[in-house]
Amino acid sequence: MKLRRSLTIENKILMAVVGICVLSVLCFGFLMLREGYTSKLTQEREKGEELLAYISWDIRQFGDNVGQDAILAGCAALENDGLVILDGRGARLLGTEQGAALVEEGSVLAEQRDNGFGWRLCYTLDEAAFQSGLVEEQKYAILATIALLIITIQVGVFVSYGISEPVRRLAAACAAIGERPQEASPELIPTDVGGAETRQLADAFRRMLEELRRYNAALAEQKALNENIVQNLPLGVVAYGADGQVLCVNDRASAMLANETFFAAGQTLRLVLERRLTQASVPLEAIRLENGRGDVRVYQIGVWRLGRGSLETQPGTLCTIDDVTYDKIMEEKVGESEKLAYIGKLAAMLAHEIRNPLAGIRASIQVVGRGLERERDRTLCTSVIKEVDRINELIGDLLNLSRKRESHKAVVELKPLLGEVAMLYSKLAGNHGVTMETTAEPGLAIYADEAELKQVLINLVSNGLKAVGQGGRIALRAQGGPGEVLLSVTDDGAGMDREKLRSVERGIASGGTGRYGLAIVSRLLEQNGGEMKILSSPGGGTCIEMRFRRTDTGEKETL
Amino acid sequence: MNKTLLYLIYFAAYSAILLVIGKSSLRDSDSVGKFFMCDRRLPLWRCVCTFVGTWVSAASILSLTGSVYESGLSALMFSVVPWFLGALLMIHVSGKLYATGVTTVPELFRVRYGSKGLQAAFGALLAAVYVLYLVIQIKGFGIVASTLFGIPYSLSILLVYLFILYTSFGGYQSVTRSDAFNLILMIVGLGVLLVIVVARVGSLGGIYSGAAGVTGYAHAGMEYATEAGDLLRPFGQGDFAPLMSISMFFGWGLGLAVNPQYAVRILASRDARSARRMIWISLALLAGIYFTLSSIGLGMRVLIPTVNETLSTDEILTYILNNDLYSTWSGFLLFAIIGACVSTANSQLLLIASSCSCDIVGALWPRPLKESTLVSLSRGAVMAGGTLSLLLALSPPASLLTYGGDVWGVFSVTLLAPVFGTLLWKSTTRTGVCAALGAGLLALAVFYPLYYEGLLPVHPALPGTLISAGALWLGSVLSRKREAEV
Repeated sequence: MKLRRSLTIENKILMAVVGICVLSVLCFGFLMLREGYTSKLTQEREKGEELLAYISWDIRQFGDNVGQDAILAGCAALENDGLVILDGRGARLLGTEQGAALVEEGSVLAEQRDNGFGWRLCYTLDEAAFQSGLVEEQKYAILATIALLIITIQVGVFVSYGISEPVRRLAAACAAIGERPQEASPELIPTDVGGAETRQLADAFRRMLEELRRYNAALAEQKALNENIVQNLPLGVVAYGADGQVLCVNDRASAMLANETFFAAGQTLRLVLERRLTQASVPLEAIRLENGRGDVRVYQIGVWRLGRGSLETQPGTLCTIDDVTYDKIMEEKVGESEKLAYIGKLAAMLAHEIRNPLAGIRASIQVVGRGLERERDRTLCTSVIKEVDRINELIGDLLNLSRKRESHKAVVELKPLLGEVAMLYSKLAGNHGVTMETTAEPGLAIYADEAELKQVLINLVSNGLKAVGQGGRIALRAQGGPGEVLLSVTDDGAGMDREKLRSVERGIASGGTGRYGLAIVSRLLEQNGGEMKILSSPGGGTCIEMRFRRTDTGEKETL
Repeated sequence: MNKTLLYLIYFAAYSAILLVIGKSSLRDSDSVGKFFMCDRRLPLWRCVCTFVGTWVSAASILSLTGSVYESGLSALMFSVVPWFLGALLMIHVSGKLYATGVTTVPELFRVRYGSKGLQAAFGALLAAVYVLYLVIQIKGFGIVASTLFGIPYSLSILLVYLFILYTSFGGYQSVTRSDAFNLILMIVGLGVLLVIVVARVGSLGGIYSGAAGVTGYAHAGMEYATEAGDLLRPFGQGDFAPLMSISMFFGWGLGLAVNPQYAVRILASRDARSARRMIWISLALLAGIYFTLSSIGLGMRVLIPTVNETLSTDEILTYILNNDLYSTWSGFLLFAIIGACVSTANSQLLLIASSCSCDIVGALWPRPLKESTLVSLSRGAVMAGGTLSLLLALSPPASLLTYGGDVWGVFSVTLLAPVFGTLLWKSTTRTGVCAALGAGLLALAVFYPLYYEGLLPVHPALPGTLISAGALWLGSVLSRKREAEV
């Protein structure tokens, strides 16, 4: 594998070029050396043969006259280490020990036996000295061969680099484009890429990238449009792949799925949705989720299987999430209203029917009571009359609750209204040692029915007076905010614990009369576009906050 | 084995390694940043290797060792001490130099003064000086190759072509890799040689005690004889006389401090801290190398008090290695010297290339040149610079050590004041730099002939550098207001 990776175009060209050139140079060098070797060997042999022929001739010509010793002395005077002379028995007459050893080894370059003394004349070759001499003689050739080899390889390196470099640069550019195709542009392809073929290749790449850029631009535009549509849908949209991975999600859906404070049967919306994805059929009803404070969210889920196009083999799922909380609440309120209206009519009819006999009963007891002598009986009659009055009062409340009085809305300035209510209760408050405070910005106004608003404040102040003890304090405040007015009635009474507060809120929601007339307050506020919030804690008093849309006093005409 | 055959085998092996290094580096040099600086990504050890490899040249190994053999430790006062003092100055400006972010030293003047003319002028100066200095490496290579193969010097210097051009074509990557290899070769070679010398003398202390007693002529070509104790004296005779040695600080020392071959290595470091560390580590390594070289020089003199040949200073080491101290290792040691020559030569060829392509052509060409064109131009400049130096090396200087000091002195006289002024003195102006360059060139023209005639008792770089610095100051002071207004 490593070998295959190293077999790049450059290396292949290099191996081919260098292989051929090196082989040629080596062959040339080898032949040259061999020729030198052969030539030197031939020279040595010829030299030896000539020497031996000369000695033989001397022996033949002068041997008998001068004797063996003189001939040997003459040979010794030649100082030739290669010359070895042996007698007929093989004893060394002349020559070095090394020479005799070479004769024994058979390293004899030339030999002569045909002489008058029967000597064996040998011319030996010391291979090591011969080789060394050869190297010295051939060093220029060897050096030139090595230099030629080096030059050949260097040329091969540059040639292979020169050929492969443009291809490599093109490949590097393509790899870079492959890593970031969205940033592909023709400018990434190098222009100076050597030969005609690589230039053609580069041009073709540039044209392809030009096309790719146009295609990418169109695709990006289409994608942006689609994303824009998905983002701006009034629904949350999530697309899941076959493996459950989220492929696409718009901001609305992200926000809904990110909310993990609302639960349905202990599961967040995300879990509910994921569970539904695995189900064969999807329930049609909306999902109702609640948080710990009793707030409710209602979502309508739609699930579609994606099975077209490229997802044919592995279908995904498209989910829509519609927040229908407001619709559901409104639906419930309408139902509640209708129910209340019916109950109201029934109650009014009933109240009307009860009031008449009650009036009779009261009058009769008053008459009877006057005739009674015993104090105990008179007290009993008075008690019965009080109870009848209380029933009458309850019936009056019931009638008020059920009766829809026609509102007469107008721009109501709050500062005088608060002052008026405070004045109404100033005496009663004074008697209980309660301090009444009013704070309101001058000119702060809302569009409402003044009488109903006054009724609201009276109910709340009345509740406050009941809640605070001797030396307590009740504050009526009106303050403006951006586009809204906050009206509040605060007392520093005992306050309510969580349980009690929840019970009061449930009473208001169910439309009951309750102990504090808060249902009436709630209904009146609703009629006048106000929202109520109760803030209370044990020992910390109670604050009823009411928010209205702000109206300037000059808006009277426009409204 | 036959000595020549053994050397040929070493030659083939050395060539094969450099071929592999050169081939593997070609790919990493397709842009100017990569070709000259490796994109400033070299690890510290490679920076140190190339710094030391470039520093230790033929002048250090052949000439310094030969000078120690001839004249003793006084050669160190003439060369090594100024080099180290110069290196300390270099450390002082390294941070400021690195912060400029330039690729070549002449580019500094274009960046600072917006003058392409100054960049081109300094580029031409650098190219010329390095062509001259390259002669040292080619001569060193030639001496060794001639000794190795017994071939004529004029033929042996041709072999240098096989290595220096090839290793320079791959740019800084190739140069630093071959520098690392050559440095390892050199350290091992010098270590082995020191061991051989110490073993023959008896002990390391024996070298110094023996050197104290050496007398007589070092070789037949010496003009003066060594007296007992001369070899260990800080100052000697001739070039190593006190006044000349001290004034050589202005040649060797300041020339090294401002030398672009080291400045480029500072600029090519990863950051300023790495650059400083590179210099400090290199100086520690160099201290060891110079101790080894001086011990070898003295040890050889103790072993062979007189060489019975007429030799030049630069030939002593190779002659003794190949004769009196010959062993199987000799070829290895001689190739270590060749490695030192190659590693310095290819660095300097690269500087010739950057000066020609980036500083001269790049600055004066009317349009910005493509990176690939600049790289091709650089390779052409490597070829041209190498060939020119080769021709000059046919008649080489007598002593590489004194010649090198003279060439480095050109840098002291012309480049020191402009570079240090630009980096260290905020008031330096373009006019000041021009004045320093002009005055420096004039000083070279006046003082160098006097020096070679023997009429100047100090190195000409001393008055030249002072005149150049004075011109820089005067020019800057006079033109400061005018240039500030511009």
